[in-house]
Amino acid sequence: MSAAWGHVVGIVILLMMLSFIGIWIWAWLPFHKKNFDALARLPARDDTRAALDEGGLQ
Amino acid sequence: MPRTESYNDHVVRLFLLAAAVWGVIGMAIGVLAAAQLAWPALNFDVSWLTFSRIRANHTFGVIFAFGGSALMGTCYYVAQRTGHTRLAFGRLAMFTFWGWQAAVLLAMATMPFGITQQKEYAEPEWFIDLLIAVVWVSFGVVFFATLARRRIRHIYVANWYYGAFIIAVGLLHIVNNLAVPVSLKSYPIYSGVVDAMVQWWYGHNAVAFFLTAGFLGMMYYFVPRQAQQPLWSYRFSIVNFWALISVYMWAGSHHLLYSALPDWVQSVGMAFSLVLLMPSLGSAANGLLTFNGSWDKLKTDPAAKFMVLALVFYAASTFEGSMLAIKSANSLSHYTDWTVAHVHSGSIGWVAMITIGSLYAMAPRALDRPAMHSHRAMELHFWMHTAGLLLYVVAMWAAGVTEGLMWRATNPDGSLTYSFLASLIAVKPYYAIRLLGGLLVLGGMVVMAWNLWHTAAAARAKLIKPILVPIPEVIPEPAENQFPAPLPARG
Repeated sequence: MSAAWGHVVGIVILLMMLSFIGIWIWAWLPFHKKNFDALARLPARDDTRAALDEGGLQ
Repeated sequence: MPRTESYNDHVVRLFLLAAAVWGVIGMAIGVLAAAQLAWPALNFDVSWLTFSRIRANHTFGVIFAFGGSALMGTCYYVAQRTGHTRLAFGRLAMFTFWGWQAAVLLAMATMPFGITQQKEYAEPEWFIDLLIAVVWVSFGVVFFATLARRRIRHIYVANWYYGAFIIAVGLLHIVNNLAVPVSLKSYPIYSGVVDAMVQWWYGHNAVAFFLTAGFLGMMYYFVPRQAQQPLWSYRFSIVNFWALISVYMWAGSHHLLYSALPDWVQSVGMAFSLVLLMPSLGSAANGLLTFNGSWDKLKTDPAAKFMVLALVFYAASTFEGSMLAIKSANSLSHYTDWTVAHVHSGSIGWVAMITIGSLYAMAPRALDRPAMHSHRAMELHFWMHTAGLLLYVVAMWAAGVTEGLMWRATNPDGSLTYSFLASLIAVKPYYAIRLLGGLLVLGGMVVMAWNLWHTAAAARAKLIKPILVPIPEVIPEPAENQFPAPLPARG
């Protein structure tokens, strides 16, 4: 493997790691908490009217 | 625009019926194949009954006919329930049902007569592949159009998995089946080791996106539903989703360790297989921890038992898969029955059990009954399936390790200690135990089919009413660029 190609591979690996960590940070942002909590409850409430009447699912 | 809207459960019921029927057929063929391995005379010297012909019928029957019907049915059910909308394009959805049944029936009717591409899990010839491609694209259109019409702004995570399953399987199917037809027969456009690499890129991702992503979609909806608990961590499910779909694509070369494939490609496959531990165990943990607060259900609810054991086997078989992808471990296990044990702890343990649990959870709702016809039959099914599974995988683990050790044993002068025949004789008792395990699993499927048939009595008599979509008086603002626009609020 040439040195230049090795650098390209290294940069791609770094970008992949950064995007993975980025997704992790994004998912943990407090901004999502309300929606994520509502979504986590969605299957248990299935298709009852209460799911919508309580709001939160937007 | 109608003032009320009901869920389209008709097509869901059809897929439910198809899954039950194909489950029995696919596993019955598997039992015959297992019996032939123990007693080869059971092929009766009939060419289309030989192991080499019916083996493909078993794998295609359980993966694509049974698993495919269950996946498409639950996908249509989940997309409607988590979007609070009716399935889009009802007629196209019906086409996907009949088209899929025609494709799997054609495949299973042609393969025993030698009309096959000889590619594992991609056996059907070009004319069936074309039909599968058309049905699959239609399936995608129905699914994504249903998502587009949703009334809940965020797309629930189960749909992400179903979406990845649909997109990736379409891509894999089309690329791997590119071929030049000459009659009923065709020749692939790839040759040599490239053909092998494309085939196992397909083959492994059939496991990844058909047998994992699709069934994780099922898991992420039906596990919280059956546990009556919120999903343990929604944000963790997002991280696992992106990790799973970005890593799985590169692991296929672990099927070709110690082959003519360049060594570095083999190492890439091994490395990615080890990274896969994170999203696999992450999803299994997320599912299991969702039962926190509802573990008592395991005493009384057979559907919950199926789901919990499915998650345990998902964690166990993906851990085993990553370990077997390590070159040194693979040198012992490759070509032995350990691979068969691994595949079946994944398929009978994870895939079949999450499917059966989900079908037991979905069937009463889709058939408008308060519960399944017989609770005791569900219990019986659970214990038959679990006993069959354990007998099967333990027998095959023992057989695989026996074969691996016998094949690599050498005398001081370097010659082999055992002939191949000696290893076949050594594993014969395990093959009989495997048959017993298979019979128990098949028996359980017959019990489920019987139970579903009775649960569906009212549906057959057309006595059931469609379930209304809960449409709010005032619906939230639609997401930007949502097309087509969501249906208007009631009234």
